Amino acid sequence: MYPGRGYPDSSPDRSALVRSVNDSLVYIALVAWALVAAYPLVWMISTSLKKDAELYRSPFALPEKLRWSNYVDAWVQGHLGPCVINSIEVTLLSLVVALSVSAACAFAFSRLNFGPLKSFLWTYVMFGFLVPDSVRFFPLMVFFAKIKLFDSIWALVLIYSAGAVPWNTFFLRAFMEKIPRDHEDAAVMDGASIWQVFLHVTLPLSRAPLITLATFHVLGVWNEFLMAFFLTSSESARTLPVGVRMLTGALATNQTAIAAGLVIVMIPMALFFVLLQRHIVKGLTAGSFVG
Amino acid sequence: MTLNRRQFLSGALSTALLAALPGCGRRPATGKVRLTYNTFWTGLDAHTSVMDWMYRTFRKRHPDIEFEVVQSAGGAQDNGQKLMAELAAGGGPDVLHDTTYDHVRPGYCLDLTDHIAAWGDRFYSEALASCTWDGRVSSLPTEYSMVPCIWNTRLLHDVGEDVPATFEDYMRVGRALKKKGIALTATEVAGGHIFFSVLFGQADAVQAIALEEWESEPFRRAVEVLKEIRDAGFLPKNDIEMLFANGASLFQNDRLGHYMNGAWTLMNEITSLGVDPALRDRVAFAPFPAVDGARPIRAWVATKTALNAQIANDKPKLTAALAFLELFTSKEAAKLFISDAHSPEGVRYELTRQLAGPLLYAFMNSRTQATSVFTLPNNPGYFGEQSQSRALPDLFASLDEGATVKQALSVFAEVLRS
Amino acid sequence: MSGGERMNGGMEERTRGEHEGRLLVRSSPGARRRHRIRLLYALAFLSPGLALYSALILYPTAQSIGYSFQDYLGLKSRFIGIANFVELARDRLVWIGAGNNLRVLFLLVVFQLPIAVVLAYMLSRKPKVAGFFRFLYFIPGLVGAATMALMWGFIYQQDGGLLNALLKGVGLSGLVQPWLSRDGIVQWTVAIPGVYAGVGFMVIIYMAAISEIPDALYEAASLDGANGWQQLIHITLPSIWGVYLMTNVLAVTDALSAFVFPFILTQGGPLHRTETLTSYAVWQSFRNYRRGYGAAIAVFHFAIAVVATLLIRRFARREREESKAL
Repeated sequence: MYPGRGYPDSSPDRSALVRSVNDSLVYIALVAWALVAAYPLVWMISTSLKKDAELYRSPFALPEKLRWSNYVDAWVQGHLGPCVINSIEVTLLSLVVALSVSAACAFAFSRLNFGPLKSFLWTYVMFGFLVPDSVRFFPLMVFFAKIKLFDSIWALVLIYSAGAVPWNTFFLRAFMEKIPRDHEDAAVMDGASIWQVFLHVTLPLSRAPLITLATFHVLGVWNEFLMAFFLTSSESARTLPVGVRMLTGALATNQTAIAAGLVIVMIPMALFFVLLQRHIVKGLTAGSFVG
Repeated sequence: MTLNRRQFLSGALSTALLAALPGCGRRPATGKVRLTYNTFWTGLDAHTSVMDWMYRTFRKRHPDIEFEVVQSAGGAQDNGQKLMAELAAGGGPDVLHDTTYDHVRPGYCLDLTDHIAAWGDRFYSEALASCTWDGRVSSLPTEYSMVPCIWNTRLLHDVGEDVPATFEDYMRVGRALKKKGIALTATEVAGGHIFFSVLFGQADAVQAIALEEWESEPFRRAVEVLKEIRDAGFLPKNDIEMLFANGASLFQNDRLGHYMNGAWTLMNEITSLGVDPALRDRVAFAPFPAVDGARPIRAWVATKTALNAQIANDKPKLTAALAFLELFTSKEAAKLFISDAHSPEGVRYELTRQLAGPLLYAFMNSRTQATSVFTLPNNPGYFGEQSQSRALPDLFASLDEGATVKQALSVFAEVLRS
Repeated sequence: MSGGERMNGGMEERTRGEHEGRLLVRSSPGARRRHRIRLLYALAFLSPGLALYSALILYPTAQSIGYSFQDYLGLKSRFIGIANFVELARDRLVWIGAGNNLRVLFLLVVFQLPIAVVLAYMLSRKPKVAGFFRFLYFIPGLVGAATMALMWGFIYQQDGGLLNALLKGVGLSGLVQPWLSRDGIVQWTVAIPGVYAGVGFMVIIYMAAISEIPDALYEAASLDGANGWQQLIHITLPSIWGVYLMTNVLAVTDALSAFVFPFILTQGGPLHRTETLTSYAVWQSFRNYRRGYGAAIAVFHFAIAVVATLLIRRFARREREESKAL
């Protein structure tokens, strides 16, 4: 998958010394950034096992005694359990809604002919690319308060799904345009209805971009903060970013316990990535995303 | 992989099940009156045990009311912001945990004057006065305390000093602490209270406020003192970026001379989870030694619980809400707040040493060392809120940038006038 | 690709050409009825998406625009025309906010993206360890902005913070600063975490793009005596230029919507130094209780986003036309 079975400067004119110096420089640079990326997490773990006084005294040193009680405190006081469940629910539900709704739209724009209305509606939808969150969130609060869905998972599900519509539709439509129509035409000739064509032919063929979009969606929604913060408060709806933010209130001055809370939140995501690394990377780069 | 019918159906079914899941935890539809209350007195907060008692008792005594409590941690600032957003969106809970004039002015708080008339004389008059604007009572004092300096006696002892009684003593303590590399105090944990102490230690302060003369002498003096403390190097280097929790954390770890807060700090910061248990034995409480021998102490209603104005026309809900408030400010509750939360209400109840415990008793008794007791006047109404949440932070920041007294004062005045 | 379609936001209608590829296209009697059926089908497919979109994206935007012409006290409002916008033009803090957004953009374009390209290139040279390093790089991006912001709060802390401890440890204690308050410094320190966290994500994107470059190009170049650096600049970069441009566009939208880090780290302070457009709109609406004005700021933000996007589209289109002409 990657080029470079040999070294770039493999021409016989280059001396072995220069080549190995280049090599080590490359490795140094790679390791340097790896340290920059990974060390803060390591430091947080070390901090989370200290007492507060230790943190002030010797921020660098490893903890004197492993204070696991910080983790217990963080989990109990931070009520992180419900937050995780809420985040999972919001992410999965909005994923299903966003993808199915957008796929239907993309199918309509790509495969169906309905006259001049089509280009108007396309522009209508593409306009949504330009709308930033700041201009939406307060009216959305008013809206959900009015329909009594404020402070519920559904508010977030609907908001995230709606927000994904322009991008997903655009992406899927571009992909669908590139699919040859033979399969679909064949199905039509076999007497399939449009709905069946969509479900049994087009969707399966669009698996790659759907996975890509799903990956983006999960990454974006899981960590979204602005909407979640203003639209949820109670434990039945609070998502993880909001719960993390509230850690600072729940644990107040117990800094090292707050650090433990952060680690609790970070580790699962790291694990999730390790286990699903190949799929995630494939998802991010599959489809018609690149080129 | 084509989606055959069965796969599609099972996918749809599991989605539907997932969808039902959030529905499970939510409100079951009943015919009862529903009352909602948002609070951040939860978790490790001092008041939690008393609040839990209150919820239990209320539900037992009123089985016909569905009482829903939303407990969010996150501190006063975040919750204040969100509450404001919810109220502005036309929603918000029925019982508002913590309100200020900023909630009264736009009309979010229900006028309680007539409703509590039947309750009799249960509140301290100054406490109730803090909740009264333009002659109407809009909230109830559910947290009422003195605000003395909380000194770390071990640090004082280490530098050979005692709790300062005069301003000169105070500055001397600061110098001694500075020599040991310890900050005397920090803006976020004491600055505002110091400002008010110096201000109200001067006779003409109340009048200046009523006349809205924000740049007059009493204010100038207060800013001068703040600047003096800052210029002497008694504040931490990153003072301006610190939150209350940072300053409190420093104090807990013997790195800060004193801070100032109400009685709730006893259980929240002095004896709370993760804090050195010996800390409570090395704290002392005394009024701030303002200039010219004045040692005023503030009586502060820190939490004013109110009702959402929107329930005014919903008779059953209004009755339920008033019943809750009545329990909240009953004698039973007041007693528990003293004994279990160490955070008295503005409800009349005798604070004996036995009931309050040595720490709270000493805390509230710092009043006896004061030359006067003051509260922030509610005339003009916006003074309390505007100064505390907007003008003072800007004042401190401009002092941090090196402004002169005059410049800083004008920043302060400008915010108040806007 | 069928004739004439451009991948530039889909705003251009396809040119009429061969292979219209429309289902059920037949001119025949009863075509009108079939057309109506098609229309109904189309609407059936489109309506959930359109409904969600209209209700939760367009309608709130319109409402915000409406709010921005009002002055609010509590739930009551009065119409004041463009007074909010006039005030906005004179409001120093709006420009401070925009300045902070620009700082983020600067850091992204000048540091994050180039660093990611270089790292991706180097990793492509070392396929055996590429997966491992890629994982490490992506970790900061995984944990989410809120968590990362709190973590950086720990790093920037004065006493007991990682940064100051590091500086003191290597003997540079003279450089110790109040990172989250000193004017001129704090604006950058709150911008850094977001830039830092995104590098891993970009590395993945670039690595995928680079993987499509045929080896032959590199081999030819090295036979000509080009070293690694030269190959990066003359082969890799031009080959992934499309993707690189696109990530720059994404950077613009990212920078414009910067909110979480200043909000959590410094609440936009001190003295509003670190506000961004979004956080300032939030502050005006909920801490200063001026909802109309806050909405005006949001609308202004929206206008900037529109202008920026259109400008970039135009620039990108001209780039593509020029490169096609070559």
